[in-house]
Amino acid sequence: MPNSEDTTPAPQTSHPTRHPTGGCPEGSPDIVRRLCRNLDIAERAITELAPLGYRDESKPEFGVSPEKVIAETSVFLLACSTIRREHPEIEERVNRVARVLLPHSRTDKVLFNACLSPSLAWDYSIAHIALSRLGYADPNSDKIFRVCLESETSEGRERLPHRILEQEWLRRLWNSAGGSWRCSSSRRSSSSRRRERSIAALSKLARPIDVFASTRDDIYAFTHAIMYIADFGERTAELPRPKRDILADADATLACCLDDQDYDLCGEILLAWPYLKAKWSLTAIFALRVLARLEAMVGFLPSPLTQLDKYNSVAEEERPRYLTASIYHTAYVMGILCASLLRTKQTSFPGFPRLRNRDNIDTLIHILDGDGSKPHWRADLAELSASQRGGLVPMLITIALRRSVKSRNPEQVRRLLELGLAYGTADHQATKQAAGLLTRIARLAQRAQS
Amino acid sequence: MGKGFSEAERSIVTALIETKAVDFQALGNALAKHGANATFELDGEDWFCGTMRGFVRVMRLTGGVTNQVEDLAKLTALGRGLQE
Repeated sequence: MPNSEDTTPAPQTSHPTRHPTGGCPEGSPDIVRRLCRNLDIAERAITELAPLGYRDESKPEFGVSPEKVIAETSVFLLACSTIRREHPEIEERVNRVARVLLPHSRTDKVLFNACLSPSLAWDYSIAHIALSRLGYADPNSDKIFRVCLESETSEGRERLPHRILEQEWLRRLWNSAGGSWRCSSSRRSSSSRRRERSIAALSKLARPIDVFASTRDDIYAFTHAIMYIADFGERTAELPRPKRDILADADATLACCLDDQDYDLCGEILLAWPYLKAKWSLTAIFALRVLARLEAMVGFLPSPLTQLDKYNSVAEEERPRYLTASIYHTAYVMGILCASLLRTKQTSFPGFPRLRNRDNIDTLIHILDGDGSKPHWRADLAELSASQRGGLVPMLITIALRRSVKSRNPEQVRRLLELGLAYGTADHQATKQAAGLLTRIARLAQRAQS
Repeated sequence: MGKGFSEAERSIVTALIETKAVDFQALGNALAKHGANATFELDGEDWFCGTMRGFVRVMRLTGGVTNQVEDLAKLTALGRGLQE
């Protein structure tokens, strides 16, 4: 669990002034200003990273390829495509980013790679599709991609279910952008729906997430499946499980990621509510509040990738590129989240509701504070009234149970389960799974004694 | 050496060879002595001539990767720079 203390020296900033991030009118709504700011980071990312990416010789595990930046920027632009017309300041920036992306999207190298590996053609085409959708069509590139996609090896790669859903999403997008891939007659459309349902049934959306043992990859599989199946909020998703069960998973994993200070995943999980057209849960409202505060305070949504030692150790002229490479992904997540709110006509983050007659949860908070960790969310919790804090019992009990499971403390798990029962959280994901865990351990203990 | 090696990885591999931390002569001798019998006796898919067996693997450990967000006040200085 993270602590937020640090003794390293403050960084020496040295940034070029060629990518001003101001300029969004003062009167613009909060969400619009935040989205503009993240689009400015996108312009900076493409300018600085699309030519060569970023490679750190001393830390090979941290590197950004040009293809990754180009693909992620395309997804960000697509997420803004339907709302841009309602907000001139957003449209101006979307067009600016599109124009800097343009020279990198249909290069000979991209088209050659698609010809060479037709099974990756959809992946290579994402910038082309995004730009076509934004009004920057290129029929010649369309023709090349069509030839690749018609190849008998175009589906020659085995993919995870959420990655297949991604390919289906790209196929729909290209059709809607005028690519007319396999023209969707009603018969084709219904067969494509059937195919999608069968893929979704294999995805992470079809079965409960493990609150205590899920990896980041599991959670990515969950969040990405929602993005693709819902066309980033543009259509009503056909889900393989009841929506409330999927949102219960989202609620539990959101609590875990908030405690891990993993704001990249927090942002992605939060998309579940607008994309599934659901009312925000109290945990989601609270998480939005934390992310919004941190972004406003720091100037970008922070992630562990931004390391001050590293920033100070690279040559001065390299610092802007390092900073951009380390912040752009989380900035895009925040930008996509802002776009999803604007799509549902929300121009500010929802306030935490006033609640009455909620349980006093001092005992639970005392247990959480007892291990000495001080994650960022703790300061936001302190801002709420006692009654409002009572509305966050599911989130707090999830965090407390997960910490106890991680520290292999079954006695604490048992104590928290008793508390959870008293608070009425018996049917929540973490409580149910913790009870299951204790039952399994008890069986194991019986076996050892027999 | 593979195209995907960084300078740091290249230095490590060079040092392993030059210091004889990986002694290819000794490995060669061992394989020459036991290789022929091993070809027939060990389990494995490549039973025909033994040329495809992997006897030595060098693993690069990627531990020590931080997963904590840095001090917010210090990150704020970087964020201010973005607005300049």
